[in-house]
Parts: sequence; C-alpha cells; structure tokens
Amino acid sequence: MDEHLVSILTNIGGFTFIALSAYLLLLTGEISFGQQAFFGIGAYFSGIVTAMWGLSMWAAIPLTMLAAAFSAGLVGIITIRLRGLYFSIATLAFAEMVRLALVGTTWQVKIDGEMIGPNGSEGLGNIRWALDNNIEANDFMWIVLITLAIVMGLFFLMERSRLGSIFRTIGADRLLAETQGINVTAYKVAATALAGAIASLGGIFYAHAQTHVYPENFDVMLGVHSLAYGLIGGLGTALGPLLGVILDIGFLEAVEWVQGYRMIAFGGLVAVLLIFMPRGILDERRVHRLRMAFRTRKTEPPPAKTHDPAAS
Amino acid sequence: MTLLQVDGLTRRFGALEALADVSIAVNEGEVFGLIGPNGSGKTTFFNVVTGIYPPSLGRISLGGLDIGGMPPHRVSKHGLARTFQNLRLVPQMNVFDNIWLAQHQRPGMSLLDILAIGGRRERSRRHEVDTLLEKCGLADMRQSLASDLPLPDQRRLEIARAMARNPRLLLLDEPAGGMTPLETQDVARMIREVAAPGRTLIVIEHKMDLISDICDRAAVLHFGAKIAEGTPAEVLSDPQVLDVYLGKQADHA
Repeated sequence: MDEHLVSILTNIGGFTFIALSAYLLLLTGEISFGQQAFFGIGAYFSGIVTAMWGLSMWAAIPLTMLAAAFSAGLVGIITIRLRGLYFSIATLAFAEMVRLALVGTTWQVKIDGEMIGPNGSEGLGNIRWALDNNIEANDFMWIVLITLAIVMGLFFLMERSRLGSIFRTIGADRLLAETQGINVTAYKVAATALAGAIASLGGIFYAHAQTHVYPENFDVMLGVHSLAYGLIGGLGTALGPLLGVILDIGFLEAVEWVQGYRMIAFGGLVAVLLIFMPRGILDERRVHRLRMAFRTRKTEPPPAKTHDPAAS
Repeated sequence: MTLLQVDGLTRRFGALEALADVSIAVNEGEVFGLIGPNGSGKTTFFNVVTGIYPPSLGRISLGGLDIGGMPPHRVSKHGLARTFQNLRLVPQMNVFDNIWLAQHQRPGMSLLDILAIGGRRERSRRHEVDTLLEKCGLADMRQSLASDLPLPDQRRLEIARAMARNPRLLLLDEPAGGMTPLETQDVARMIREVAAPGRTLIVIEHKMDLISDICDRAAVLHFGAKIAEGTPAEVLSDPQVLDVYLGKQADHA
C-alpha cells in the first residue's frame, strides 16, 4: 500500500480515539478542552513502559489505559461541582498543567549506552518497539485500525445498552436524570475515566508510530480538534467523530490542493456546521431517520401505524 | 395508612417563604389534589418532596422513612416518581426510549442489567414498556421522536414514564396544563383508569373539574401556607378558598 495512504490511515485511527473520548463526554453534556492530556499521558506512559522498561506494547496498552483512567477519574472527581464553561476551563487548565509538567521533566536512564526517557521539551524518543519487532508501517496501521474497530464496536454496544441511554439522559437533562434515580455524579466520573482511557489509546499508537513524541504534540489545538470532530461528524452515533476525523485528516490534510488552507477550511467548516447543524452531520434526528428507513426496508410489510417523524 | 407524612415543611429562598409550615398527610391508595393560585408554592412542594431542594425546616417521611434532604436520585429509588409542569422529555429520543430510561435505575437493577443488550429479563422489561405504551394510548407513536408529539401526547408520555418507575407515590404537576376541555377529559380518564389503581397520587391542577373528578381529598396552598384541606367539595366551598382563589367566580365551582 502507498506509504502516504498508510500514514494517513494510521493517523485517522489514532485521532479517532481522542475524538471518541471527547464525544463520550459530549454525550453526557460536558465540553472537555482537556482530552489531549490523556492522549499525552498515553503517549508518554506507554513510551516509558516500552522504551525504558522494555515491555511489549501489548503490555503497555492495558497498563497505560488504567493509568489514564485513574488520572482522568481523579480529574472527574475534582471537577464534580463544575459545569458548563467552568468544567471546560478546568479541563483545559489540567491539560496545560500536564503539558508544562512534561516540558519541565527530565528523567533519563542509560540503556545500551543511550540515554532514554523524557527529556523536557526534547520529548521522549527511541520508542522503538515497532522497529525492534519488525512491525512495518503497514502492519502497524492494521493494529491501529483493528483496535479502532473493536473500540467502535464496544461503543455501538454501549449505545444500545442502558448505559448509553443513561449518558444521553444526563446530557439532555441533568435534573431529569436525577429524578429517574440516576446518580449523575457517579456516572459522570465514570464517563470521565472511560474517556481518559480511550484518549490514551490514541496516544499509545501515536507514540509507537512516530517513535518520538514532544510535549507540544498535546497542546490545546489537539483538544479543540478532538471536540470539533464530534461536533462536525455528529453526536447521534459513534460514527460521527470518525466522520469528523475522516473529513479533517482524510480530506483536508491528505488532499494536496487544500493543504495550505487546512486550518481555514476546518475553522470555516466548524462555523458553518454550528449554525446549520448544531449537533453535527449525523445528529440524533438524522440517525433516527436513517434507522427508521433501514428498519422499514428490512421488515416487510412496514408497521402500518408508525408515525412518520418527517411529517410533523 | 399514611404513605406520605409532611410535618411543618418550610422552604425559604432568601427572604421569601415559598412554603410556610405546611403539614399534609396522604393516605395509601388515595388521589390527593394540591391546588392554589400561581406562585402559591405547589411546585416548590413537589421540588422539596422529590429532593430537588432540601427543606429549610420540617420533616418529610415516605412510608415511615425520613426522605427530607435526600438527593433526588435516592428519593426516586425509595419509590417516588413525578412529572413536570414544563415537560422534561428527552426530545431527541423516541417515545419508547423515553419510557425505557425510567427503568435504568429502578431498585434491583444491577450493573449487568445496565450493560445488557438482550436476555430474558431485558426482554420482559421492554415488554413492560410496550404494555405501558398500549395502556396510555401511545403505542402508535412508539418510534416517533418525543419532540414530534403534540402537547397532550407529551403529557401522557411524562405520566407513562413516571409509572415505569413503579412508584409507590406518583406526583403529577399539572397533567392537563395547556389542554382543551376534551383533552383534559382524556387525561382524567387515563389518570383514573391507568395511573391511580394500586397507587397513591398527588395531583397539582388548576382545572377544578379535574380535581373534583379524580381526587379523593385536596389541600389548598396560598402564599406557601395551607389554608384548607378536605374532600374536593368541602375545599371548593370553603369561604377562605373562595375568597383567595376563586374570587368572584365562586359560583362556577
């Protein structure tokens, strides 16, 4: 496969994880500007596990996800009382704290005559697990895409279960959720932890594909993008954030003639969509309509009395 | 037997006393009406009883259990469900899912039940939602988005959702608000035949014919204080009630 295409598909995979994490929080009604922190924690933690401790990436994945879930859960507990704008600012501040802490941290050990470990703004290099195990870019892409397929599958199951409905109910109307017996605080902390773990997956793959990561990779722009992916693609299905990533990375970054104008086009897209489709392209209403159309075609004859939502 | 016992309930917002020393006892199986002019504290009473606001003073006990000051999700788990005057449906969910969500955290639901997407117990609970839709005359709109329903159906959907929690005590906040007389009769029939049997109800309403129609007893609030209590007929002929509430339209009642 073409090298450029492989790198784009790997990137799409990696960034969809952080987009999904922002999407999960959007479902519960919170706008987090800080998911890049867990992407960064994922990249650094997994890099340390494989490059410094010499473990395999397969061991690094569960360890890193646990660490990210734990730190995200902690952020969730600290921000329990914050809502709306205040929650957004708090998560942004946390992400900047993490980034600046990484800039200020140097912790290197000598392995085979080489200094390995986080080195301030020089970042963390020598994440050579894929190279050392002769995993080529093409194979790595498949690892990322298959993991993404699994995570997306779990998202679809979650959205069909009561858990997904609980998250959406909290997002739609917090007070209503409480009167339905839902412990909103507990579920919000759970969602934050879960979102942290998912974002860290993106960081793990990013670090191991790039072999070198810098604190500046996890700046505010990454957080803004991850939020925008869900808002562009739509909040009606987990396919929404994926669609957002594909539009941005797959189209704006990959197609040569728009490359120089990527940020302009992306910003314009966000602005236009927020006006005309505030909950994205695949919002709840469109997803509902698609589902109905699909169902009536599948089950013949169509349910005679079904009320057509398009009619009113 | 008394199900809800409220003693000396007071709720202040700054200097405003929205509820002033209100005591009400609602018996098991009874339909209790709560009436009063706008701003008399009826909805505040519901909000305090359901835990949305903690009481400033006073006791609230549900079947002998002190629920005063409990957060709403815990009050709800002790068997109290309500509807909202200004309708709180999830507009982007369909009618089925709007009722289904009431079951998520019913007493006895385990984490496994929350994560399940099938299975015998889940099927029986989904069947329960369909039965409820049938009873409330919403079965035809099962797949419609809640926001696409006309107001009377939205109000019925709220009542159906509250019933899906299998509450011991059901609080209805203006179930016929904004409805025509004909629609009001429909709702009255639904409350009498579907909601009330086997349950205890408190109904806030402005429409006196609805109160007389469905309530066993009623109380009147005025500026946060209870000024009368008794059968609807007694309450509606009480001179003080006529004076503060019905005014010159007294003969209408």
